[in-house]
Amino acid sequence: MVQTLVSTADPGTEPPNNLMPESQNIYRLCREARSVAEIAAELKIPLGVTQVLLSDLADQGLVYIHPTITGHSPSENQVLERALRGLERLFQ
Amino acid sequence: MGSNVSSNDTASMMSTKIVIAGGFGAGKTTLVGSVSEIPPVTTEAVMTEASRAHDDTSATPQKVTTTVAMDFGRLTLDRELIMYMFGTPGQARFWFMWDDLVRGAVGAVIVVDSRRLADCFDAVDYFEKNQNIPYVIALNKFDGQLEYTPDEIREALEISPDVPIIDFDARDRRSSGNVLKRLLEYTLSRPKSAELVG
Repeated sequence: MVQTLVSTADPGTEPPNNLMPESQNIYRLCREARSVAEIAAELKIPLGVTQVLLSDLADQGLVYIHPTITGHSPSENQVLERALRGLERLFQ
Repeated sequence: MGSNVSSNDTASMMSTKIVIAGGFGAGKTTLVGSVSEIPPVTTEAVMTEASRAHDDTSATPQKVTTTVAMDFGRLTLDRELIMYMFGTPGQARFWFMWDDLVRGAVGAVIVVDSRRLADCFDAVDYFEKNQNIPYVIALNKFDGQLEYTPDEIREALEISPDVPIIDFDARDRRSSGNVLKRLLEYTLSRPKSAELVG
């Protein structure tokens, strides 16, 4: 999903040389956790292409895909409450 | 920017998203810009559409690619939780991509310009039919006043009785932030059932 955060599995390292230049750029960006949409915007690659390149990197174990909270399961209520408290802090 | 997150924390970070919908020029991008901690970013999605049965385009290929721009902003809610706000493309012809954008959202805000109610009919219709995503109506006060009362707007747009209608000023950070808070409160107040599919 466009909001999903991605980070490199091993933050200190350079991308493997056998990756395509686009994938190497994605790898470097993901040393800090970033969303799919941010990666697409930063590298000026369309969202759909970014998603494909990321899923290839994930298949190779090079990047980690973070959990996304959708609020559809009652078990996520705790996180939604944290989100609400965060908004209250920011916009009191 | 954002470099205060050490690599040890990174693995436990999570994200969530809300969708900002509404008619063209209703104030979606202004709302995102008011609350986002980064300047609103535009990203592009290349969409492929099967071409309609145009009788005069026999020389063109069967598929049409369209580039659609989407605005988004970001809020860091705590050390491990980030919320993204995505503006839906304003023109009705791009709404075939809404399902992709809306999937997995914790909720939606429909920004309404009360002087041009008809512009948000399609957005209201979409979210009234898609009951999985809780939504609120945010009435943008252009010139500091509203043309109609919230009750009149609920009736005119056929909005479900439990959907909150909030008046706000999209240019004002706190007023816009309040809309997001109300949406989260509303999302939390709704019963959740396992049959809801994300």
